[in-house]
Parts: sequence; C-alpha cells; structure tokens
Amino acid sequence: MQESMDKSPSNTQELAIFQVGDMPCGLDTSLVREIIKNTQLTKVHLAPDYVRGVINLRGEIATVIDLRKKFSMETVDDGENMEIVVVKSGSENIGLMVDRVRDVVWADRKEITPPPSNIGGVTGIFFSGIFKMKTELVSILNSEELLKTEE
Amino acid sequence: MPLIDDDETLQAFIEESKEHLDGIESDLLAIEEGGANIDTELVNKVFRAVHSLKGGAGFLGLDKVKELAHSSENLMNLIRNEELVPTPAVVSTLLDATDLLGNMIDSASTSNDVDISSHVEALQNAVSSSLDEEEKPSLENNILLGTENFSNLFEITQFELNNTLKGGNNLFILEYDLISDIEQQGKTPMAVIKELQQTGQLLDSKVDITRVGDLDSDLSEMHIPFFALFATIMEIDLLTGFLGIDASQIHPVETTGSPAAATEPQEVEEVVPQESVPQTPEPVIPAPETVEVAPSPTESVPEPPAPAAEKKKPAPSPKANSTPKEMPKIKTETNLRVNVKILDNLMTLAGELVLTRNQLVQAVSSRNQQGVDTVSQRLDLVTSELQEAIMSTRMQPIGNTFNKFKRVVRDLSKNLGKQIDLIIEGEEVELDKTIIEAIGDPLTHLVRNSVDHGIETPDKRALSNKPAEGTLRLSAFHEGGQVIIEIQDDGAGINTERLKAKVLEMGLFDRAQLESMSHKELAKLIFTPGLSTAKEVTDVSGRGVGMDVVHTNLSKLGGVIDVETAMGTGTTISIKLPLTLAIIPSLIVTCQQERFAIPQVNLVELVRVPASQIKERIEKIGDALVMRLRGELLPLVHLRDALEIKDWTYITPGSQEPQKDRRSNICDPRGNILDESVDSPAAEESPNTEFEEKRSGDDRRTSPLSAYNILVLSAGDFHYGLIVDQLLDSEEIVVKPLGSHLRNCKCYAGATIQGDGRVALILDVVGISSQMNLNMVAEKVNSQMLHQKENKSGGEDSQSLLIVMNAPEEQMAIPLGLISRIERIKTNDIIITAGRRNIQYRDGTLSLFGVEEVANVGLRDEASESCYVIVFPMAGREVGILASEIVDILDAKITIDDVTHKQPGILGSMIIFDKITLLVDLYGVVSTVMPEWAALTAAKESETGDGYNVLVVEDSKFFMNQIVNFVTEAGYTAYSAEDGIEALQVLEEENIQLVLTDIEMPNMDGLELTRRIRQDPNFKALPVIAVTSVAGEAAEERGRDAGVDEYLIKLDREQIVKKMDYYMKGA
Repeated sequence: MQESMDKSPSNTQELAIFQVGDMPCGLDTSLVREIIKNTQLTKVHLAPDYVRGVINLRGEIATVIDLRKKFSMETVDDGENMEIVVVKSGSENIGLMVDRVRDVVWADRKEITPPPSNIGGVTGIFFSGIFKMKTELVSILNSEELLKTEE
Repeated sequence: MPLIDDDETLQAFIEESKEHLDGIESDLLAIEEGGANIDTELVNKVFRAVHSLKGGAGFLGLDKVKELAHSSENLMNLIRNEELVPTPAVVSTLLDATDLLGNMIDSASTSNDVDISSHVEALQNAVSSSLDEEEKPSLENNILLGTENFSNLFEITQFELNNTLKGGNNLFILEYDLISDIEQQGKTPMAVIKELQQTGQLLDSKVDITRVGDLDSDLSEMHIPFFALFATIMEIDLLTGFLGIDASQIHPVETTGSPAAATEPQEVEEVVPQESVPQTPEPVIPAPETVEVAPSPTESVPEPPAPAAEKKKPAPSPKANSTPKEMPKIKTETNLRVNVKILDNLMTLAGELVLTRNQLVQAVSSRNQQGVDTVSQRLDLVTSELQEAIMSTRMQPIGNTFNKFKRVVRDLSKNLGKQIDLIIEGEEVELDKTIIEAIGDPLTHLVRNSVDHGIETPDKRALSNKPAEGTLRLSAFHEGGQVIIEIQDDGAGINTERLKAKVLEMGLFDRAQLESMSHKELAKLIFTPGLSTAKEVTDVSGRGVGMDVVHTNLSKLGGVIDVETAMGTGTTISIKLPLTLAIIPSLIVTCQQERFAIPQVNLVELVRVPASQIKERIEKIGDALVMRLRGELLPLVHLRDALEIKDWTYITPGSQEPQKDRRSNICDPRGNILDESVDSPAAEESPNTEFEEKRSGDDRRTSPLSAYNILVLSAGDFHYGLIVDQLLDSEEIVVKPLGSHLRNCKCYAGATIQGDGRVALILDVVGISSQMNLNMVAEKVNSQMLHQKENKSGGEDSQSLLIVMNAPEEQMAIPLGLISRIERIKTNDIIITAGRRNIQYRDGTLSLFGVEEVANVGLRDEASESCYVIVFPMAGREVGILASEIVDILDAKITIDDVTHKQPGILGSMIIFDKITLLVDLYGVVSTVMPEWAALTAAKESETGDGYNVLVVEDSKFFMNQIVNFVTEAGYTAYSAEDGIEALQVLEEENIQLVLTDIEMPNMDGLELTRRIRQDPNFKALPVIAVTSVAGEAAEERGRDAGVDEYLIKLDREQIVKKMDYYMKGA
C-alpha cells in the first residue's frame, strides 16, 4: 500500500513498527540505531521497575527499558524471545524491550493525528501521535518522554 | 574586529594559553619569593609566555586579551631589566591580571566584552611608579605605525617603542597573506607566530578582515592580509630568507625623531615608513580607551608602589562582573601530553600484537593446538604490557595539582594575616588523570581548612611558643600499591571537646555514643554533614558545608580519609587513593546465580564459616546480623538482602538444581541454640508452609555447600561482612559506567564485561553499607559489645589462634598476635646451609625451624611442592616456623591443658574442631634449636631485674603460669592475682613496681582495675601493661583510654620482657 505514496520527506515519515503487548507502536526510524535479539541480559536489582537490565552492546553497557512495564502492562518473564530496539539518548544507548519488531513503513503525515485525549493519564505522555494504518492504529512513541530518567 | 572563525586555531590557542598561564602563576610566585634577586631566566620565561599569549590573541582578534597581556608584558619587562623590584604588591597586580586572562581565554568568544580597564590601570600604575619623571610621558604617548598601503595598522606607546629599539633592533611591519603565504605553504598561523617569536620580538599582530575582498572578487586574487609588527636585529635581506616571504612584504619602520614629540601626552603621532608617501590620509583614529583611563601626567604625582597595590583592591569587582555565569564557555577538548618514549613503546607493543595475531590465525587455521597455547600465552603477555603502557599515558604527576596551592595558600594567608610556609613533597608521584582531576576540589577544601582553621595567627602562635610562621606540608607518596596524600599543619589541632559539644547540640549522637568513641573517631566527626567548629563564619571556610562533601567525593574515588590531630600541635589529614580507576583488580562472586565484581581495594579478607559453625559464630542483635571475628563483632549483610532479591534459591547437594530457599535468617531459626532469632518477627514471616520438603540425611544445612562465604569489606572507616553464595575468581576488570536510569542505584559502582561477553555489575561497597544503614548497625554492635563486656561474668579467655597442620592429621595452634606474616614458599627454595634450613627472603635469609626438630611430633611431608612459613620476630630478627597447611584462623574460648602434652616447643594442648591441637611455643622451638639466640635475649634480661616486684593479674591458669615464667626468668619477683579485686588487695599489701594484667576477668576486669589504680593517688604512676588475646585497634584504644601504658599480646614473651625492662628502668 505504500508504493503509491509520495515518499518525499515532507509528506511522509519512516516508522519502525513493533508490538508491545497487544499494542502496535511506531518509532521514527531515524531514532532507531539497531535491533537486537537473543542477547544476554543482566538484571539490575534495585533499579527502577521499568529497567529490565543491562546488556553488552559492543563493549558499552546499555540500559534496557521494558516498554510493557512502562505502559503499565503485564510483563512477561520470558525475556529470551523479546527483541530490543536500541535508540540513542544523549550520549548513551538505551534498549527498548518490545515483544516483536514487525515492519518498517512509510507513513503519510496526513494519516498521523495527535493522540486522542482519552489515552491521557500516566501512559498518555509517552505518545506523540497515532498513525492510522488500514487495519489498525499505531501509537507513535515520544522517545524523549520515554527515555527520561525518573527522579 | 570580528573574531576569526576558525575553531581549530582557536582551540590550539586556548590550550596553549592555558598551559602558559598555569606556568606563569607558579613562576610569578617564585619571582616574588626571590624579591630583588631577580632570576632572569625565570622572568624571561614568564615574559615569553605572556608574549606568546599576546601574539596569538592579536591574531585571533581577541583584542581585550591582547591589551591586558600587553600591559602585563610591559610590567614584566621592567622587572626583567631590573628597573622594578617585584614586590608582593606588584606580583599581586600581575597575578590578578593573569587570573582575568585565564577567565577571558576560557570564554574566548565573549572576551572582548570584558571590562579590563581597572586591571590595565593597575598595571600601568605599577609601571609608571617605577619610571623616572622624564620617561613617564612616553607611557601615554601613543604612536601609530603603518605601511605605505595601510596606515595606522599598529599603535604602540612611545615607551614601548623606545624599549624595543634599545637593543639595536630594527622594526619591521611584515605583511603576510593568510592564503598564499600561510595556508598554501602548509603552515598554520600559530606556527608562523611562533617562528617570529623565536627570531625576534613580535610586538603586535593583526588580521585585517576589512581588506578581504567581497564575494564577487576572484577567489584566486583573494587576500587575507595578516600584519605583524616585528623587531629584530636582523637586516631585511637576511629576514626574507629566514621567514620565506618576499622583500616587498617586509616594510621597515623608521622611527627617528619621534620621542621628541612626546611632550603632549594625548597626541597621536603617525610614523610612516620612510620610502612611502602617505596616500589618501585616513582619519586619525582617536586614541583608544586605555589612554583616557590612564591618569594624565598632570595628576599623576609619582606614585609609590604601595598605592598600586591599593588599586588592586577594586579589581575583584570588575573581575566578578566580567565572568557572569551565563557566559558561554567554549568546550575545550581535553588533550593529553604524552612522553614520546611511551608512544614509541606503545607502537612497538602494537606491532607485537599484530604479530601475535598473525601467529594465532596461523595456529588456528593449521589446527596446531600447541601453537595456540604458546600464542595465547604470548597474547597474555603483550596485552598486559600494552595495558600497562596505556595506563602510563594516563598517569600524571600530582605536582601540577599541588603547585596550584602555592597561590591559594599565599592569597589566603595574606587575607587572614597569617604567615605560612608551604612545603610540597612528592610532586613526582603519579596518579591517573581522572583521579588527579577529581581530587583538586577536595584538596583545595582541605588546604583552605588547614590555613583558615588549623594554623593560628602569629600572635596566637607566639602565645603557645611556636614560631610565627606556620608550616603546611603537602606530601604524596606510594604505599602498598596506593598513593597517600598528606596535608599536615602545625596549627591548633581539632578541638574534640568542642566537636563533641557541637555534635551533641545538633543531636547527631548521644552522650554515651560519644563517650565510647576513640580520639580518632571523634576527630573524624569533622566530616559530619552540617558541622563547623569555627566560631565565626569566615570568608574562607566554615559555613558548615564542605568537609562532608570532601569526604563523599573522596570516597567515591575509592579514597579513604584519616585524621590525626593533637590539640596545640597540629592536624594531619591523610588520604589513601587508588592509582587508577579504569582497570581495577576485583573479586568475582555470585549471588543467586548472578555474578558481581567487588573491587579488591575494599576487600580486607575472606572468611568461610562452615555450616556446622554458623550457629556459634553468627548472631543477631536486634534485627542486625553480626559475626564474631577475632574478638570483634562484625556487622553482616546478605548480598541478596542488600539487593532485595526476592526469590531465594539454593542448590541441593544432590541435584545441583536451584530450588527455592525458605530460610529468611542466616542463623537458622529451626536450630534451637539461638533462642533470640526464633522469636524474631522475620523468622515467623518466613514462608515455611509454602514449600514442604523432606529432610534427608545429607541435610543441606550441614553440607559443605551451605557454608557461608563472607567478604570482609572496608567501607571507609568501618568494616562489614557481605555474605555471598560463591567466590569465583579474582580478575582485572574494566570499569564501564552505567546508564542514566541507573544513576540512583547506590549499590553499584559500574559494570564490566566478562570473558563470555556477559555483563557483571560492580558492587559499590560504600553504597551497600549506606543502603543497609550499616553505620547505624555498626554503632549498635559497638554499644552491644560494650554492654556484653560489662556483663561478662568471666570464664575462659577468647583466643585468636592460627590453626595449622604440620604432619598430616596433627593439628597445631599458634597465637595469632605473635605472627608477623604468613608466606607460602616452594619446598625447592629451601637451602640447607651449616645444617640449618634457610630461604632467600626479602634480600636476606630467613632461618626456618620445624616444630618436629624440638618436640616429639609427626614429620612434615617433605615431598610436597610448597609449604607455609609462619614469620615472627625473635631476638631482634625474623624467623620462620614451617607448616604444611594452614587450616583456619579462629577466635575461640578454649581451655588449655598444660599438662598432658607439655614438652619442649609445646605449651599445651586443647580441643579444636574435635581434634587434639597442640599449642606451639614459638620461642621454645627456636631457643631449643639455637640456644645462643635465647642467650642473647637472656643476657639482656639478667642485667636488670633483681629486687623488683611484678604483679600478674590473670584468671586463666595456663596463661598465669606462662606469664609468671616470663617474669621470673627475666629476674623479677612475680606476685599473682586472679582478678581485679584480688589484685587491688595485693597492691595494698606488697610493694609492687609494675602490673601485668589480663583484660577479660571475672569480678573486676582489667580496664576497671586500671581505672581504680589510676584513681588511687598512691598508685597513679604505677606502670600498667595489659596483656590480652583480644587484638584490634578498638580494643587497644579502650585500653589506653582506661589508662593502660602498654597493650601487649599474651605469650609475646619478647615484647612483654622488653616493656617490663623499659618501665622498670624508669621506675
């Protein structure tokens, strides 16, 4: 469906689509550095509950954030099959743990609307918009808000 | 003029300038010290540094920097020519200017907005005050210089011009083109400036942006003219060859006759190169601001240097204004200067590494296992060498930091009216760059504190018979793989009484706690947050913040602070620092199948408590766990509790499978020995019902896997034990920082990547202790311990013993207090000379003895590859006793049987771990084999002794016999008493000259006895020596507080006899 679209950057946005629980989420691909699977995760006790652990990212220690936890969903113990979307935040790399990475799509900006007011509340701040795909709605993540450290 | 927008050049300039400025400060201080005896070399150095700064600033369009540097230079010039004595006032003016220069360079982009007039004025005043009356006008007389095409390029004062021409110099204006002469020649502007400074004197330089063509002009014809006003003794023809520019670009400047015109100060004169006819005369630029600010000669009555110093006073205000916080700082990339030798070495090693890789690839591809082994060994070697070499590039001498304090101390002592001599030692000691950077602030704080609170004013010092000049000693030295920095002053010392009062007032501790603290602990209270004992808050320090921050910051670096102070004589603060933070040796442990690293720096010792002993050795006080360790109680923490790991698992002896653990207490609540823990609420909460499990014969509580591995860790000022599941290995780890989300986790110091690529977290020893409120626990333990001591109803003494095996299955014990060290040696290294066994040891020989040589005991297995040597002092030297195996160190209350097994070399026997254990008489063994050594000691002993009476107070029969033997053998008469009460009776009845007392006794203990003796006017001077088996500083401290003269270890015959002799001679 994307083929017919005008791909000029002003009209479209390239989104990486991934699944968090039963919710499809999107993130601008320019923010995504890499996607990793099956990596050894080291748990960090006493860390904020949304921090799943740390991983070795080519010699650097990257914090992994569990998006399910962040969105107040039920977390899964089985971290092995989850995928990690690595994004850059300031000078450090942060991993976002998602259920599954699905696709990369060109989204028509016309199809992106601001988040409806009823998904406000605690998790509402994490979304910057909703992308209307044919069959479902994709929540576009507000990475800045998402990667903020909690005081 | 707009700023040159060339980051790289600017960066280079900033970096270089900073280096210059750093040097200038210390050199100026040295010049001040020299006074009238001017070290020309030094002055020249400063002059050149300021000069380079000026040159660079001029090129970059940093006009204000240039102007200030220029004024400083003028003053320096006078000092150089010995026309001005560098009095403290003059130097202060220069220092202030240097400070401002530093600030301006830090924020170079806004430096042109800085108001420097007051500084320039102060500098000019200093210059003018030193000049003769007729020379003065030349200062204010500005001269404009230019070439035929460009007039009014430079403006200098007559005074400066005269100075320059004094040495037979010729003056030139050099015209470079930035594009064709510099850029295209592969040079950099900074290099050109340097070149000029080497050949002559660069008076001024500027880039003329206004002459740059506009965008329409042809690029090939573009010029960016760069002018330099240059004085040299060289002639023009020489100069062209030297500088590599065309003769047409060098314009000689003729200056004859100009000085005569110097009568009208405000007049600006134009001097034009001789061969040129001025073309369209440009309007004369009005004299710059400086001239207006400078006092006109009519009102400037010759000023003595002092007012110049006065002038410096208002300086701080413009300085403060000139560096507002919002000033954008240009981010300086941190560069490092590295010795070329080190770089060469690195290169060689890198080459080695490549070769090794090639070999490895070859060995792997040809499946040559032996080859792989050899190469991996080589790789190990090369890597460690490479690591060492790279680390050495990061090492920097601490002198750079220390030297900054010269200025701090100088300024502060002036402010406070104190005289202080700063002595700096160990400048060459090297530390990692990051540590050097991080200790700057804490050190400054400590130095300021010493100057402000420590060292007294001269009047006060005179009152206490001290020299008017106080001494502050800053020293650094290596000790045991760490660096120690000491800040020592001979000031008033810390008033611990006042500290106590203050702490009480603030309600931080109660009186009982304070009473139980040692002098050292009290002194350490200065690091308590929110505390200042200074009566008044001064400008310098004493706002009640700071010392605690110093403490935290240094602890973060892995540093340990110690304070030693004596009222009236001074304070010494010593800081122990690790050499580097990037790669640290550490111990890898596991807890619940997760791996953690613990820095070796914090590790004191490892203790393993076998399952069978857990009940006896680990106890609960309130809800805190403690362990008995050599007479002291050690607070314990389980790592899984510290990290709040919820689901505990354990490994059953049979299956190796982790299972849920249901024990919530270390001291097993199901054991009925320790009743205390049974009714503790925690025990009841334990999920006993959830998991039912049949207990089999090999109950895990008694299996070896259930033993506790305890790491004794040092968290700054106190120790605690951390219980972990397994000890893996000690490794050198690379410390990596944790992400920002984990910044609030105090328990971790970082993370590291292990050989298998997994991440292991590094535990923060101090963080864990604060997470678990261990400070409080430690205090609780201390008070509990005191409490226990007081309530003690006597019984056997607790002994610290080293348990060893010599012959297989024959267990022996040696009192720990007597031993200096334990060494492991190779059996092959033992040399037999003249029938005696020796080893080469620390550049000497160490004589070795075996218990079997003297006593009728089993023989050591001589075939084993290695054995242990227990080293102890005797007759003024060190000797060693051989043992085949070290079993344990333990504190035990043991009854010693001194009849059954007594023989030469064996004092007696006891039961330890259900085995008969022989108590070795170290002196007995050696003196039987080498009677002449014993005679040596005995000879000394027999000289003294006769007629003196010694009272031995000891409740254990065994020790009583031993000590009475020492005493009588030394020639004294021994009286005995079983406890303190009896001892007091004997004291009344007999004429006693010395008391040797045990500490732990029924009815009245040794401390109480000592206190009574000290209170009694008849005995208060009586020497009291405590002999005890409880080692440790805290115990010793308490003994001293009670009034004990010496604190010795039981069975340390040599020391006991020596000290007795010492006190008897005094008696």
